[in-house]
Amino acid sequence: MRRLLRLILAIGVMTPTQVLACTLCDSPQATSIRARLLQPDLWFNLCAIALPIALLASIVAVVHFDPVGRRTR
Amino acid sequence: MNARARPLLSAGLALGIGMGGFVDGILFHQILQFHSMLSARIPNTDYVGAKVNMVWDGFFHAGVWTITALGIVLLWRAGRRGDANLAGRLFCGALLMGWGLFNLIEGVIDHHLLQLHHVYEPLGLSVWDYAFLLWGAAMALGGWIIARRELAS
Repeated sequence: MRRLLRLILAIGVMTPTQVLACTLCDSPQATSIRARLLQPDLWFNLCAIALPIALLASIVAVVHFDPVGRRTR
Repeated sequence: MNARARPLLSAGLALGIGMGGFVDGILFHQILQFHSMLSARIPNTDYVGAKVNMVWDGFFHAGVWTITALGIVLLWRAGRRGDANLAGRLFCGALLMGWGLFNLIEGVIDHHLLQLHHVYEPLGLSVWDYAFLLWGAAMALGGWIIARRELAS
């Protein structure tokens, strides 16, 4: 019985009704948004957003691992 | 620098960066709606522009979340080390430094160099962007002074 309930629940979860909540999936506006996102500047935008985050993460890494101090020791 | 201070210092820095990023995202992007991640390149004044900016805001928040998660891991590991300096002043100083560094680095790269967005987008590059940098510098300096007191004692 428990298995049957799990199976029904799994099928219910996998139905495409969740897609209805997705504003990026299927509508004229969604097509426009996807088209704007996937323009040639996609990689520039992605790298531009990642750059400060990568820099900040590298500062944390330098403070944590102290590569300069290790080399001089 | 004192090796015993490094575990807590790096954890506090990462958490401070995360807090700075989330305050920027929650306060300026969402509550006040002063700017979005790419609002200087893709105007967020129409539905499609706002939605595209929302996607890029999501990537920014994902990055900030990752650094925050890293900070939690580092803090947990620092707590498990018997020899780590776990002083409150050191942690507060590191948090402030991290937050300040976020404002400085994000401000210089995104607002000034790449011009992805500005603090108050309707004005473009304005006094608000310089105030954002000053705010960051003050926090970083204040944090450094607080942490340094602990390191010196």
